[in-house]
Amino acid sequence: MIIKIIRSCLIGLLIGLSCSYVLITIDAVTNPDAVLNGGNLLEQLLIAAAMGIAIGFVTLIFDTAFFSLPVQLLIHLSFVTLCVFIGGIVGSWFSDFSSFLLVFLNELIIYALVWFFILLTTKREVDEINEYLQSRKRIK
Amino acid sequence: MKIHVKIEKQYEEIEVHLYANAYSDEVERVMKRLKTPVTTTIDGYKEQEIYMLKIEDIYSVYAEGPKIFFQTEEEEFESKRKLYELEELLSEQFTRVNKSTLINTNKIASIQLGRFGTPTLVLDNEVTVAVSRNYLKPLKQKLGIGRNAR
Repeated sequence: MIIKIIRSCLIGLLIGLSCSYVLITIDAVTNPDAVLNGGNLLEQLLIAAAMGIAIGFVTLIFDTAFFSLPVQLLIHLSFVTLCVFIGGIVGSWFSDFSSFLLVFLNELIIYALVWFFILLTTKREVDEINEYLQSRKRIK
Repeated sequence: MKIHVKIEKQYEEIEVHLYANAYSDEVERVMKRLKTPVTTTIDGYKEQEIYMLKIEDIYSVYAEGPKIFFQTEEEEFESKRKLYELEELLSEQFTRVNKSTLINTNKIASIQLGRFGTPTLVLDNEVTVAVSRNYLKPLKQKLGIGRNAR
């Protein structure tokens, strides 16, 4: 169980840091005059790391059997949104209303991408099982 | 795994010797399997009558509240045992696929992606059973697919 928790937190950390890197790069490209010093960068890195670990931990909800999948998804998305909101306040991401909307739009895009990746992985496993079942049927 | 059979009159009962270069999970599994008595029937209850059900005829075992049921091709029978006891007792043919269901791996017809990407098993009697994501890997292992296959 502990290994599972560590693994999920590490995956969350890696996704958090990768997304942060991509978003900071996009921000730097779209706002070439913006200045980001070492201290700011470290702050953003720590926020992304903390968010990634927290979200990674909460992602374990999908491995529990407490709720149905839609409820799990709703709880997970709400938690991720809360994390982004807190991260946005701590990291000063919300300079105006449009930046506020943009942050949550980014969240939705990343969330959809990660969900799509999970769906693809599950589909691969389902295909693998079906292939086996078909070959078993042929042998019978 | 190599199996050698030696038939000689000197043996009064069957002896099994295991040879391996280390004590591993596989050795433990083989030992457990040898020690487990083979169960072929199990008691099911319906309208205050007891039926001895052939395990191979059971498609799934599921919990509905505090009650446990065996599902066969067209009928359902109640069990007096707990789900975890049945999971252990029927571990040879059955595997858990969600919090409340064990399925007979020989009765799986196919698996599909259901709503929200939930894998759903279709059994030979056309009953569908949702598979929790965390039980997908053990199911694959049970079927002998991929690494650590049993």
